[in-house]
Amino acid sequence: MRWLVARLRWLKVPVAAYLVITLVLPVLHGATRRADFVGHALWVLAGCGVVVAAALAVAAVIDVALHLTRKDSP
Amino acid sequence: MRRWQVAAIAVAAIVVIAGKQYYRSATAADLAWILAPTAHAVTALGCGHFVFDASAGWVDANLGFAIAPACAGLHFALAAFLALTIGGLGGMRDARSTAGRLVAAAAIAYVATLVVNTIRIAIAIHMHQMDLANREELHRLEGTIVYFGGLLALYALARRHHALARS
Repeated sequence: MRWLVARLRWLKVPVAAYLVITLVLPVLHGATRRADFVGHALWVLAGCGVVVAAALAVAAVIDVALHLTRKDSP
Repeated sequence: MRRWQVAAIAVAAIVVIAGKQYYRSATAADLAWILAPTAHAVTALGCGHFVFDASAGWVDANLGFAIAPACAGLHFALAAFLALTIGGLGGMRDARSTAGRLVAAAAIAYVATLVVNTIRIAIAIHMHQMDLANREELHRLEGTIVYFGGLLALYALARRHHALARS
């Protein structure tokens, strides 16, 4: 859990910046009145979820590789 | 928070709001500063031959594909500028360093937009040529994944650069 929190911490700025531009500002501008906005929001959140999951998977692979290399080194 | 950091956040907020407002009504000709280099880069990658059409943007009639104003990537540019500004707040100690970092954030956001948007459009053209079900939805998902992935990569590179500069 601590690993996950540490890995997610640096993501908060780019995640917030992206969601402000793609969802928050359109909502403040009345985009929720548009019929297709919910669909757009779901695709944005799904895409972000896929990318965050991929970034965490890459981070996990790197951490495991570094851990194993450190163990093997004399 | 120091006053220069507050000023930088205010500048970023003004740029983002003004940018969104500009993008809402911008035509293909208005967006030539970002659409033209993107269309040239996509053409240079061998993904078609795009020519300017004032009503549609940059069009390849043979492919049946247009790089329209909505494809300019301005939202990515604004998100990148905002993220880089917030990420660089630590180094904003006076007017000079604040202005320098804001200009650097804008320049990096512009170049990153050209690179990421070219990749996104090249992938979209290949998807356009495939026989895909739910093409519209997949195009949207591809856009989010490439833009957001590009933003994370850009931010990670900027953090690494800051860390190296500090060491």
